[in-house]
Amino acid sequence: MTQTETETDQQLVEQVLGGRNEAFNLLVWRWQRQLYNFLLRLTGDRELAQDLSQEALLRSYLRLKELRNKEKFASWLFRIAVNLYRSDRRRPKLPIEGSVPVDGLGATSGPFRPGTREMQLTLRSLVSRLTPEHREIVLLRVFHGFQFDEMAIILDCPASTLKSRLCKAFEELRAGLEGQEPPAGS
Amino acid sequence: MDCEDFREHIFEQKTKTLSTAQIKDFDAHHQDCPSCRDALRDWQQIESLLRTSWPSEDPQIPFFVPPARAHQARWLYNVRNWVSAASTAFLAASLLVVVLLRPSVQYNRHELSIRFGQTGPPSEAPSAQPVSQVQVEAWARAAAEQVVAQETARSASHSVTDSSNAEGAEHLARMGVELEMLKETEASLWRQVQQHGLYLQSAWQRPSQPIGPNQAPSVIPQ
Repeated sequence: MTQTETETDQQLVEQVLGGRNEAFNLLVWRWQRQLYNFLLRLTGDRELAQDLSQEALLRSYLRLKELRNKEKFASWLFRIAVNLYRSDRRRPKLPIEGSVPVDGLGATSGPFRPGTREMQLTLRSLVSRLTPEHREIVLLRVFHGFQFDEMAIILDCPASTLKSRLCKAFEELRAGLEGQEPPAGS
Repeated sequence: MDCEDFREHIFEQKTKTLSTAQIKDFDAHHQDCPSCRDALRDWQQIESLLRTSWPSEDPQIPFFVPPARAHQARWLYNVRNWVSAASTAFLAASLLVVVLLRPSVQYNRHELSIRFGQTGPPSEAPSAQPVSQVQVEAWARAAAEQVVAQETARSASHSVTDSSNAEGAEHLARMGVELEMLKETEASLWRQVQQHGLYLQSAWQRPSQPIGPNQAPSVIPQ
């Protein structure tokens, strides 16, 4: 393990603020994949996810001095991304030719297990149809493992409200999956 | 723990944020309530299905990387600012030195000399020395003695050619008046020295043979 891998987000942020811009490369390298995939699942659009990721990273760099809890860099970065996504969602849009949806059948080539493919695709479709508030918290919880206090920062919402939202989202997904055969062996 | 608490704690179960007592209650309710047991199982299934059905992928373009030159540019910017401020301060200090010290540069017989605070050569400058009260008194006495000596000589010549006592008495009276005037002049001079801190220079002629302060003129013609 190299020294850069052992340095915490807080140490890297302090280095950037101290004038060592190269340290921000390590923060980008550490969080870009998670950020991009969060936005990809949230938007269902690769180009938009890339644009929003780029913008979120750029803004986090430019506003790094505003970060109070330096150890919460990831939560702060995801919060910027969520705000960008929400702003983008409010913007009226025209359908763009060439944008690649990721919700359709065969959009991914993940390690599917036999007998679960239909249920997996149904579940993804159900997540895509959740309200944005519910989708945000399901993705943050399931794919990125954020705790409720971190999600409260990212989504700018009390943790108790987020627990309630997650319960409702879970019940929606569960209800949507009724009628599907449960995967064998899971 | 009721069913509502249990379902809220489902999502915290894996994050290890539950206390020991909460975990104990959670496990007890899990054993007793089949409905909540199903809910926990379904949530674990949904999580697992979502993770396997929606694998992460790498972004297709490199993301934002802060320019390394930005640091260098900032460094250069600081240096430029510092140099600019330093040169301005140096220029101002140089002007101040020229105004205050008025240096004069002379080159004479392979010798370069720089002098400050004067426009002419040092030999031409009048020497200014402080004058003490004792000196002023001594010079006044010397002047008085000079006057007395002149008058004594004059009275001696008069006594050879003209021996009338009336004329001699008149001379003595005039000398007394002149002596009083000299004393007044001396006192006035010293007051000026004290009040204005004057330095007597070329205007005051030092007597060729100064006398001591106790050597008052004693030769008064009778």
